[in-house]
Amino acid sequence: MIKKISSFGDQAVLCDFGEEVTKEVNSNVISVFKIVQSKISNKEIIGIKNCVPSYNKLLISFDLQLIDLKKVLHFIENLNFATESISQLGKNWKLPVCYDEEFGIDQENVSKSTGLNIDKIIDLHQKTNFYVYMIGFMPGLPYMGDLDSSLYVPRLETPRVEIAEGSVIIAEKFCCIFPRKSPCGWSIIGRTPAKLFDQSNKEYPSLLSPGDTVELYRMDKNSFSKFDPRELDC
Amino acid sequence: MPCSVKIERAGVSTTYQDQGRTFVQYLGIVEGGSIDRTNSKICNAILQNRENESLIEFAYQGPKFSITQGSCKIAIAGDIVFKIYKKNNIKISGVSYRSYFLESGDIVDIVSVSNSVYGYLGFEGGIQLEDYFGSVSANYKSGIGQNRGSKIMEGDSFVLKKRDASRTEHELLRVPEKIRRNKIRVLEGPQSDYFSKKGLEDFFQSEFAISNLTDKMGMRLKGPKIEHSKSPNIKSEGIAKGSIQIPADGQPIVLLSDHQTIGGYPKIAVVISADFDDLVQIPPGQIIKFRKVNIREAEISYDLKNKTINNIISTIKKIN
Repeated sequence: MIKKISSFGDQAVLCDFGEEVTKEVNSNVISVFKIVQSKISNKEIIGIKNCVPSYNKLLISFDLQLIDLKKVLHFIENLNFATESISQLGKNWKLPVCYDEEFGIDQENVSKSTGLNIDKIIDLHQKTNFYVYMIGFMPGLPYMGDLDSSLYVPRLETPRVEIAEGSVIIAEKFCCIFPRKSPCGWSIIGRTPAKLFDQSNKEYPSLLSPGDTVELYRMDKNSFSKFDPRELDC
Repeated sequence: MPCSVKIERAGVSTTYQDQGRTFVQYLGIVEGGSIDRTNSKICNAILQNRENESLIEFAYQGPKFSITQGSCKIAIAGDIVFKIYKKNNIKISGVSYRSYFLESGDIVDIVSVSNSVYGYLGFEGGIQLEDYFGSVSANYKSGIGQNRGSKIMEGDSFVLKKRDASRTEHELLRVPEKIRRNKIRVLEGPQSDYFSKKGLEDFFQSEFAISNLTDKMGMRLKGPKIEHSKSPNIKSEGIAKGSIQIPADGQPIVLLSDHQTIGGYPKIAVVISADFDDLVQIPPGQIIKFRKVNIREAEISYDLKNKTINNIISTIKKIN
């Protein structure tokens, strides 16, 4: 499963699962991530500090006062993927998106750039079976794919200084949702009233986790303003 | 009676910190924590606190604060100029790396750091704070921590965990040396093959100035443009603290303790853990150079550094 392991400074290693960014490669990353996490919680290994899955890599950082590079490499090389029970099943979420033009401020530009009309863009986007490759850039922000290749648009020439919380953006083959206000250089096509990150929720602060799947459904502006994020379920 | 403290002046960048967050980076939550672990550890040790106890980190100019109720003991770590105004009008020039007994009416003014960047203010027993994912560390950019991760502001107040303090003060017989290192040791980065031969030579042989645009997320450097040999965009991946990434403009950025969890620029090198705390204390405008070492030297140096810190801590003695 792991193609290459390299040291990354004196307190981390980077496991490489292959060049391609595909769901198949990423689900291998998440399998190993879950195995390592369970070994940490069962105290089968001491000294690992953080484990960060991305598209095709897994970063494992450790405390050099408790464990060293050699022991971490030995631990990873001796993981037996065949016998480890992997609960690969992520959760399946249904998230509302309002595509009203007030929220989806870049729809017209996306239409010009792709040659598709706005209804078609919304239809293609909303019908995508999304898979969460990773969470990053800010707490709770999912990188979801894969968009239909006809929806690929380049970065904005001038990034926006601030976009609204809940903005749904498209970035090449990915769709991201911004859990809070932020600068952003990609096209906004809608907004969700769902709360993607809540630091007061101590157990599950991030709504989504790597490996989850997401279906979107359309919501009008009226329901958007009445939506209670606590209604969400999977 | 619980001891209360009021902030009369916040300083430049004053935040609550401990040793940061583990096991939550996969949700995009930064590890964070105090940036100079040497000084935060020593500060807590002088106060007989546990290593991970909450304290206040400041940069350049620290806070001015008053004790509004009760009594407490404080210690300040770093190369710091500060004054203590006792309520009986006695003025004390503060000394770093020792504890002071304070009571209601006393005021402390942390005037500035001296030829460094960060300092720590600790309280015996720690500060009463709510933790988020196992840490009180504030991270403004991601909105995590007390008041959504904002800096400590003028007029803020807080309560200490310990109710009363004894008058016994402590000091270090051996204080940390003022290391003025400008050669920073690094290990080869995971994408060193993204740079041309000239790019690598320039990186390891040139001098770099620390830019003013440096914060706890990253230290920006100014120097010769480091040449890539292929596209400077990589697939975003997890980041290790101390990574030195080179974006398209060829100017290095050292990723510090509040770095984002994932990033997409190639990393030419990674600062060894033994030199990280020294690096972050070098003020903007000063010049640094990088020297490549191997993993063995990095590990031995880190071990030696920790032994030195423990040796310093073992010299803590009662003053009165």
